[in-house]
Amino acid sequence: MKTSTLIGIAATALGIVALVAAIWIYQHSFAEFVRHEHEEIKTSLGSEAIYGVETMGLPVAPTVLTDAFTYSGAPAEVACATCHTTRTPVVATRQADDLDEFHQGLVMEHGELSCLSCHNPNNYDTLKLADGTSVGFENVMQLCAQCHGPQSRDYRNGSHGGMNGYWDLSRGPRQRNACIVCHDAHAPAYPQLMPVFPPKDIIPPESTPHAEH
Amino acid sequence: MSEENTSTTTNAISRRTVLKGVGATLGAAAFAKAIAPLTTWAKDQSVDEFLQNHYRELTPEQMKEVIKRIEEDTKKDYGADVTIKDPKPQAGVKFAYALNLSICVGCRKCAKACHVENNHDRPSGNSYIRVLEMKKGSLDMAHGRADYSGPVPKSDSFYMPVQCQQCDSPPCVDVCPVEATWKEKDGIVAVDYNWCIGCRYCEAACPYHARRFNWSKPVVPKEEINPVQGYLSNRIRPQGVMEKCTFCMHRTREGKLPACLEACPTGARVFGNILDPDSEIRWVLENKRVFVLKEELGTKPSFYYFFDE
Repeated sequence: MKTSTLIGIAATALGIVALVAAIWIYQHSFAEFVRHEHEEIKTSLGSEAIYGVETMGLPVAPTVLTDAFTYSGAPAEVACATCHTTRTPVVATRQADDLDEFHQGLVMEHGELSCLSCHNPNNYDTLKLADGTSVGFENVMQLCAQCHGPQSRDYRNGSHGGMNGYWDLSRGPRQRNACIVCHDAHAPAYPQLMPVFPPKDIIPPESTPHAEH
Repeated sequence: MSEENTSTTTNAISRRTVLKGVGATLGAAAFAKAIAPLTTWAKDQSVDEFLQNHYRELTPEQMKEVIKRIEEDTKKDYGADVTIKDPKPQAGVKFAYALNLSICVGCRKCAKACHVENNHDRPSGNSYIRVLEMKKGSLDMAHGRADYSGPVPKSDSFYMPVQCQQCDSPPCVDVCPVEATWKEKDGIVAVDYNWCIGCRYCEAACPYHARRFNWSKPVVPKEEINPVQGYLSNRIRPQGVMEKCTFCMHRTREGKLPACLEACPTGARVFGNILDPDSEIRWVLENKRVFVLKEELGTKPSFYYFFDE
């Protein structure tokens, strides 16, 4: 056998070995990982929202604590109308300083609004819309929305106001804040606050001695 | 003459033998020194852990064993009883996040909630969220300050929380030399903490500085540990591996809102399924002028920012 034939056979054998090795290395290192398909959870897309969105912090008609006591000994609470049915409403009142008793000291910073822009002079246990329609305290957001349309629109579409719970209403309920949870109806500007949780530096402070250059 | 010579070489210790002996001793010493780190390694890593397969190659049975082992280790190391789950992506769900910069007040409550929810290292105050205070008129992240103090919001500033943008073309995934990080079907970029080698290439590759490195074994007091944990999300990470925001995978894959969203007092954060045309996130994308950070890099984030007009 000629030497050239031997070299030829050896080269071919070497080539085959190299090819097999390359395929083996490829399969074990670079090929797409074999994904063990687990049972997929049923999709929520298009499935019905079985749970609702609850609005938290909606007010009820307020009451006033009096000096009197009930028969059971508890402090007596009375409705707004208890006093206001006998008093004449003053449309021009804008500041709490002009009001009597416990109304004193109330901060009123809500644009150019006066008390009776929202409070209903015909029934102080309700509020009123701009057109005079009476609206219950629990529907106060309808009242806010008259002027704050964009905020109301954003709220209704989930991009204004804090929330908790589930994004997927087919798996659980969601709770949302009413306007007045964050915005005081009488002074609605969101207050400045102190930030929490300042970041910490993992780099050593400047005082660490450095080597001379 | 020749007989005499032979006897000398067989009885006396030759120079060659001495050299061989010295060489062998040095070699053995060098080998011992070289494998010395393995003795310390063995203390905090079991053989099972070392031989554990990649997340995507684990069978359900193997995963069950792995989770059992990690739960036991957490009990041993931290004294806490935790439940680790491995929720899977839902079909027909791709997560997206939007943030309203007009109503973010910069209170950093999201960063704190992340710290608590995700069992972050307490001494370093780690969090996946960095809130930047930016001067109005610029969107250059480089000019944002994370170390601002109150009271906030300041009238000349706006506040931009930055976390993992869950990119559709994630540079961090491209650079990982061991495929320890990848994109899940619901859009979340996940990390297998047990496969990561801690080279930090991904940290360098991320244009949003969203990845964190565990310089030390996380220190969390027993009573502060969040026991509801996910294998790919908030379980306590080992030392020397990368970690990142997972959109609270252990919550969101169960249908819940992420912890940072629930902590937001103003509702600046909007989260949901981008494939659901009736979702809040879709309403934002269709009705607000949204933008993404560093769009020119082509990372295709799943995290959008917007201002109210």
